[in-house]
Amino acid sequence: MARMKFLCDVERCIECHACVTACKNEHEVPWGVNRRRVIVMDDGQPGEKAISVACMHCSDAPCAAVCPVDCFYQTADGIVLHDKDLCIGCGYCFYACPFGAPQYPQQTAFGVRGKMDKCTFCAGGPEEPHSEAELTKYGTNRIAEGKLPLCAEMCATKALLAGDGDVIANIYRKRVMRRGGRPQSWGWQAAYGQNV
Amino acid sequence: MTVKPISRLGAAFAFAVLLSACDMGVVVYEPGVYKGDPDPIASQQAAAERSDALADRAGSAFADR
Repeated sequence: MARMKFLCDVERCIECHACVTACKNEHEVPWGVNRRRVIVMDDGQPGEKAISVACMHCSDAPCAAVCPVDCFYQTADGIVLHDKDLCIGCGYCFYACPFGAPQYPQQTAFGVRGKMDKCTFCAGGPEEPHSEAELTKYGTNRIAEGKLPLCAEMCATKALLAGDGDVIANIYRKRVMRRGGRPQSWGWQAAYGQNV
Repeated sequence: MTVKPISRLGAAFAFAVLLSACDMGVVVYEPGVYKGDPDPIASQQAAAERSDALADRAGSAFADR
């Protein structure tokens, strides 16, 4: 059984933000919500690194552990999704997530933040695949069409990898062996409890 | 024809039940849309069916040209 994961090759990311734009455009994400962001470390310093960050679809997802209404669930291939009909906008998941993935349409107090929104790995949600309800609440469902998340598929430098953990780990491992250096599978220890 | 009080009571109850559906808190789902818990077996089957296609796609999408 495949286990879907994200892996950002920090040596290749050029901070073009195309993944962010692609995600927003594909899913028609509302203004103020970014399911994916590019984080720059040591900006302007030698050794500057950029990482594309979104929900990592953790093995033991902390967001699901703290949700008071139990709106999170995990698909058979490890994608962490949530039901917006159940979400009460409490914000606990935002505080629990080590990647800052959960987003809210309004920056206001408890109960009026609106429904939480986060990366779905382009797998839609609990609604009927390709239905109007799924499209408006969660965005497109590319996984059901046999496609990978758009942010990774259209990455110009192929820095962002998405798919079965074993497959993308092999791709990344070959790259590291070819170019040298040490592997930097950022976020994998926190999300999956392992490194490449 | 006389209307019995019990019939009026029944009609009033039915009207109240129908009126409760007008509450803004009621979620109306489209007919034919399954809203129960996800079926784990169907989910596993779907994941197994698409895993090969997704692995092939990853191989072609992330390979260096």
